[in-house]
Amino acid sequence: MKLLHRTALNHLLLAIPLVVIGTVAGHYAVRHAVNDELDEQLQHHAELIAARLATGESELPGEAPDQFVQVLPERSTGIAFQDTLLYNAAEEGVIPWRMVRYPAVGVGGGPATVVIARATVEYEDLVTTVALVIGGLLLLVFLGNFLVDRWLNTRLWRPFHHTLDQLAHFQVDAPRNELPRTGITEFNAMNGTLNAMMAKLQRDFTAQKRFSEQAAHELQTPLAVMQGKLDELIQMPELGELEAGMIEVLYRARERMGRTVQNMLLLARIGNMEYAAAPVDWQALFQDQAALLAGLMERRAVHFQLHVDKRCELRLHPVLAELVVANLLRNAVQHNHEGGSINVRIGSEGFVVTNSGPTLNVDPERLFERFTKGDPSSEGSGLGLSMVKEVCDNAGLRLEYTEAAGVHTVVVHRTR
Amino acid sequence: MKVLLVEDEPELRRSVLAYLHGEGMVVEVARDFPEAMDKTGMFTYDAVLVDITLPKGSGLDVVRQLRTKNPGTGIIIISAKGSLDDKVRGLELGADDYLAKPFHLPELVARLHALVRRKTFNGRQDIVLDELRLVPEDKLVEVHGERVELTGMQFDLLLFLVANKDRVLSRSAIAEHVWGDHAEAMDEHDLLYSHMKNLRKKLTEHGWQDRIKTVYGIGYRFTTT
Repeated sequence: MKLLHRTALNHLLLAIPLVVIGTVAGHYAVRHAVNDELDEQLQHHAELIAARLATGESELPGEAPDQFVQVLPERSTGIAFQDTLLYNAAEEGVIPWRMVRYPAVGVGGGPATVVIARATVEYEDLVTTVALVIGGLLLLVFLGNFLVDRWLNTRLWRPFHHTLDQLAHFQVDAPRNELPRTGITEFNAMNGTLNAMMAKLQRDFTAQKRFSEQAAHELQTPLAVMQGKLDELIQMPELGELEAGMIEVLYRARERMGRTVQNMLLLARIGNMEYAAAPVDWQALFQDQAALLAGLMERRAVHFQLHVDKRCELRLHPVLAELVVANLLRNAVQHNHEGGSINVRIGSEGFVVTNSGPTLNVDPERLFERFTKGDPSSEGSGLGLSMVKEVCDNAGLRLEYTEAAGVHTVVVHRTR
Repeated sequence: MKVLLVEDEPELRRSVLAYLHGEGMVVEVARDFPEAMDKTGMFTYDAVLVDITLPKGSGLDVVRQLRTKNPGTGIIIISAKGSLDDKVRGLELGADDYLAKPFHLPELVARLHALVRRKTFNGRQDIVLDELRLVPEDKLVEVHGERVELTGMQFDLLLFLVANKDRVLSRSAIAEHVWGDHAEAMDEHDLLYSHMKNLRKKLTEHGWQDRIKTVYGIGYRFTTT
């Protein structure tokens, strides 16, 4: 939920009960005041009639459609007010009245009670109107407050949103603008800290990239020298069996070293460099790589099947896509058994590589870690799957490995 | 064929120089950036091999100068940086090929031959070795004028052997040429051996006198003498 929406919601949650309480309380207060006023009038009227009775006058003034006056030959102890419901001809129904009973002395000198009642329908309307006016005013005040607040908040948080926007577009290998100073101390502190952090990230990134390149150069040049000398060496005439054996070992060691260096540098780069994604013809890629591995599959009698449900829409840099497919397929062949099978299924959102093979003695969780090998004596660098993992992580793809009853499944899928 | 090698590492320079000499190529060397700019500015070469990381400058600038002055010269970048940026930029600047260090010398030779063939003869150059005739452009092979059906991989293998004729080729150089990064998975199964056997069988069936010699423990050699 957005900060602004959150404050708005809080305002609303506070405003609703306050408006309701305000309206109800207003209603009662007004009603109370009206009743007081009414009681006072009724009492004055009753006093007047009582005075007239005392002088022997029998005519009772004040009869009206909404008021009746009566003198009952009853004794009463004091002035009593009450609400009551009585039939009224004008309204053609039972309506509320306010009534007073006032003790007086009758014309004959006997006990008497003056009863005056006045219909309060008109007053009820007044009370309701006043209460609604109060509620309306409260609402207006809250609404005004809310709007002003909202406007202010939008203005106040603008530098914050600017910062957020800049952060979202931050790229470690692209030039960036310094986050600006604002009029607010807290935002200044935040922007200052972020500026420092981003600057450090970029410095570290550049340093690491430079290190990778230097390491590459420093390692690969001597490797190239070794390779050149070996290629020259085997041209020598009359190499004996012993020499040939040693040279063979040197070749293999050189290759293994070269591969490890190459893969390590690639790993470092996948994490750092921006490899621009592009559409990939996954079907062709799988076919090409399977063709390269065809000899090996044939040798091990591994059956390869490619099934395309739909054109796969995953986007990846071509070099990385090839790396993923090559490593997955090679693994599927290498960790298969004689007469096994490899199935690749391509769908629009990803692909699945399934292969038969002995259960691994490696924890599946560790399978994608660097230098993890199913067979410790294998000449593989142990970096193949970790590179696939690295590529997938960086491209926002989901990579899953599961094994059940000798069937190994690797899924590469778009994350939702 | 006249080749300029721009490389600052002396031992590597010596190896490449010796190997290309052995191929009958005329090779000149440049040890640093100014020397490379001087030589490419003054002379014309069939092909130039350029390292990107050079003392006193960048090989990319050498590529740029070459492209404007001598569009006909073939350019192969040989770089240890292995960075994708460099490869892309190098090819954008007009380099024809890119070879990452460490590389096998026979691979370099094969690429040089292919490049010069492409540049000089528009790719239309037959290779004739007695009864054997190759047309790289069409991936066509004939023995005694009769067409031999080879798979793409077998053709690549034969062309690689022929490009490095009379040289000993290590198994790893051949495997890497044929299978690229998959080579590591191949050698333990000695797939190369059967691959080679199939190729020889197809050619000899058409009456070719087998010139592929096995060099014990090391690899193979295509002999012409």
